[in-house]
Amino acid sequence: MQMLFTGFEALPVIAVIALGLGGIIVIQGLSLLPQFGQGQLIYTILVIVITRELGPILAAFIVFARSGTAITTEIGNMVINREIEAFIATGINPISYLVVPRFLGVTLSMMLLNVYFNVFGLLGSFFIAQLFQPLPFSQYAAGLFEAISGADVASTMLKSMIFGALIATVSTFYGFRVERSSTEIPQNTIRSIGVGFTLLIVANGVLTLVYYL
Amino acid sequence: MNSTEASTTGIQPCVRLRNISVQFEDFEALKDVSVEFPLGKTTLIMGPSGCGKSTLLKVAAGLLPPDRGEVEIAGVDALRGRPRAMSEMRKNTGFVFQDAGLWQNMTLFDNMALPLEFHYPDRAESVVRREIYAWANRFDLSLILPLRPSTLSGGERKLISFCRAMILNPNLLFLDEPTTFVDRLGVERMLSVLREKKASGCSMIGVTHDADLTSQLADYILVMKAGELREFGTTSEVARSRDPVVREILADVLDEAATYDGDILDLLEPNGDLF
Repeated sequence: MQMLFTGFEALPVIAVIALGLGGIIVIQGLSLLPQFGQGQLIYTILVIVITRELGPILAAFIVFARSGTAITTEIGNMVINREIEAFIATGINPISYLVVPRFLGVTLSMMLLNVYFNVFGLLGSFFIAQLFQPLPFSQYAAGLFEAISGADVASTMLKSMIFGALIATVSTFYGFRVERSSTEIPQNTIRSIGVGFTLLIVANGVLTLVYYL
Repeated sequence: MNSTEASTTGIQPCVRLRNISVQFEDFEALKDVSVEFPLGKTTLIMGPSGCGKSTLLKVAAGLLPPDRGEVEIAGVDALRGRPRAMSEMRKNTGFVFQDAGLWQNMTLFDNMALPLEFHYPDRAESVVRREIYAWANRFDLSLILPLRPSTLSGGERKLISFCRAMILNPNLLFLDEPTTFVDRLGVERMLSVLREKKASGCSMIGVTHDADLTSQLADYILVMKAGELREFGTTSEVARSRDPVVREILADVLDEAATYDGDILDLLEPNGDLF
């Protein structure tokens, strides 16, 4: 259920953003790079920007904005409605029952959405490239495969996994921070977004730094 | 008696609270409360609104960790107990919430099924179904089982919460205003179930303003005021209390729900009409 909500239902917005990002890179790259005789660099830039950097972080922002806030709100409401107390009274550990599935669902969805973002971003850039510089798909694909390395794939997957874990942890943590009043729910949701986005950017910076060390 | 300490000497407790203090922001909801709820008996907590009754009940049920003090439920340390011991203890306890506390994203059937499925994973689906319908039929609720809690009235929610608490056949029951919002027939059915539980030796700890519930079930009464225990004893002991504050509280609290003529304290007298 969590994967359906976090992963499947986020596909349209991820597709639009990935296509747009890929298109922008190609439009800018193809208009500038050939002037310096570096047209081939477009593939390297696509891989760096979409696969290694913006793909995971933008997908994470989208997942946080959609699912992270929903998780905080849902759990906050459960606290107010005594549903968490009902779990404890029944002997069901709310962490096992509510947090673990969300943690796994969000983390796995985040990794799959990152793959999806990459596919759409890189494919989208191919279609946009047709408008400026028609070239066969095999040539485009060959250029991309030449530019992408195993380290790039490992980096993007590791980032998406860590970002997914961060989103799930921060959003559930702030959901459980709600104590008594329903007005705490939007307050904690806003706090979770602020803290979550900051942590995502810091984590992205650290992981990028590690990649270049 | 010390205003914040109470025990029933010689009777084994089902729940033991020691030096419990609970603070909500600047408000001290419970002030160094120690009490032992007797095993196999029904103890009803009474007091004016906001005196800490529900807070005490939740602490006693291990749902609200106190800021200070120790909680022992059925011999298990409710604050530091091992998960397996806690789970076993919960398997034998039930809690009826003041505002029902139903899981909103589940149907009523699933609300009742989850405790059974969790504690008895090997139990056949048909058996679980039969048990759920047996409880629902007892309260004429079987037709609404496929619905979700948001579509129900307050009374129906309360009855489902009651059935959910009963589904594990607990031997320790916590009741937070169980009859509020419930119609007369529902209250009578609820009382019938509670009388059966009492006869079977189930320990019950409840918060109520309901005179019927008090007169039919209470073995012990605990009177609270402003986060402190004011009086604790058998119904007859409490009824004989000369403490004017206790008498005033009982009269005020029970009068809210009672429909009887005469001195409200007569309800608690062993020789009164209701005994």
